[in-house]
Amino acid sequence: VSRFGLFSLQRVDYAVPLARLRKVLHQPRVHLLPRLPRELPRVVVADGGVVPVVDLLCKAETESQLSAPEYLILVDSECGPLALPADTTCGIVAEQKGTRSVTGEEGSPWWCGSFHYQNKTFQILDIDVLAIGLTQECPVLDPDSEGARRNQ
Amino acid sequence: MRQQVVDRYLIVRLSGVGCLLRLAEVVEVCKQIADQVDWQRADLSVGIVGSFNFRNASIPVVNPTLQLGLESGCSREDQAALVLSGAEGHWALLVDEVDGIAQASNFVACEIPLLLKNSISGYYSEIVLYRGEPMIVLEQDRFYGISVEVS
Repeated sequence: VSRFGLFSLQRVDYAVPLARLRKVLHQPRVHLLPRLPRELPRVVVADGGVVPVVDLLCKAETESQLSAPEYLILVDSECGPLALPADTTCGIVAEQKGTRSVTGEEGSPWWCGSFHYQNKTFQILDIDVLAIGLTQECPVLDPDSEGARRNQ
Repeated sequence: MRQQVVDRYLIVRLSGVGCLLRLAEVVEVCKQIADQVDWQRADLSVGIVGSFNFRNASIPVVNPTLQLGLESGCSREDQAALVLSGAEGHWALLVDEVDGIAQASNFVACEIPLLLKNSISGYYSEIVLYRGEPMIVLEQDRFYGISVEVS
């Protein structure tokens, strides 16, 4: 049975395939290091290593959203573990309890579909596309960016 | 005795970021140095922010936050200067705070995440964990005698 970990950030709801979800940290301590890329502005220490924190929308509205996230969702990607900030977590749900659509909303190349559950639409994150986007010179994180449009 | 110095690190802070320097490289820690620095003798293109009168000689003062893209977290009056012994003689590195000294055995080497390697590779090459906090190891030759890209 396919399952999703559900969370939300800045009024956007996300779903991560459970197979990629490593752990959820509540009120973690995040750290600044010099010369971090704009899309990875903080790191968190987890499992004895340093994990980059992704500014998912590249639009953190306040410093506290970067420096004191309520949750961090740790996921495994082709490029190593990543931490995704979240305002709230919504649990783990089996795919069969909702409806999955193949196509995600436009403008987000790292969304690989959507999951409708309890009157909410969760954008399913393709963790590897997200990670590969972060390795590119012109990141795809900002849906409004030229890079994002090119990668659609 | 020498072995003990080699195996120890000085912990300092730049904008709150923990940074390490091998104790064997540190000649002296000078506090409240603002009045002893000629801030007019600066060459920001190479990171030099002034000239420090150390033991009757003028030595260059380098602000590593320029190179590291950080904003200094305290005023000049509160900063400290670490006098280091370099290939071209003594020079001083400005830091916000000096936290203390710790044995190398207290630090856990940490692999640099693949996604960070490109952006940090020109600035530092070691991250260690100390009491659960990531810290970077400052390498002298990355800060003195180089061109600085000021962000």
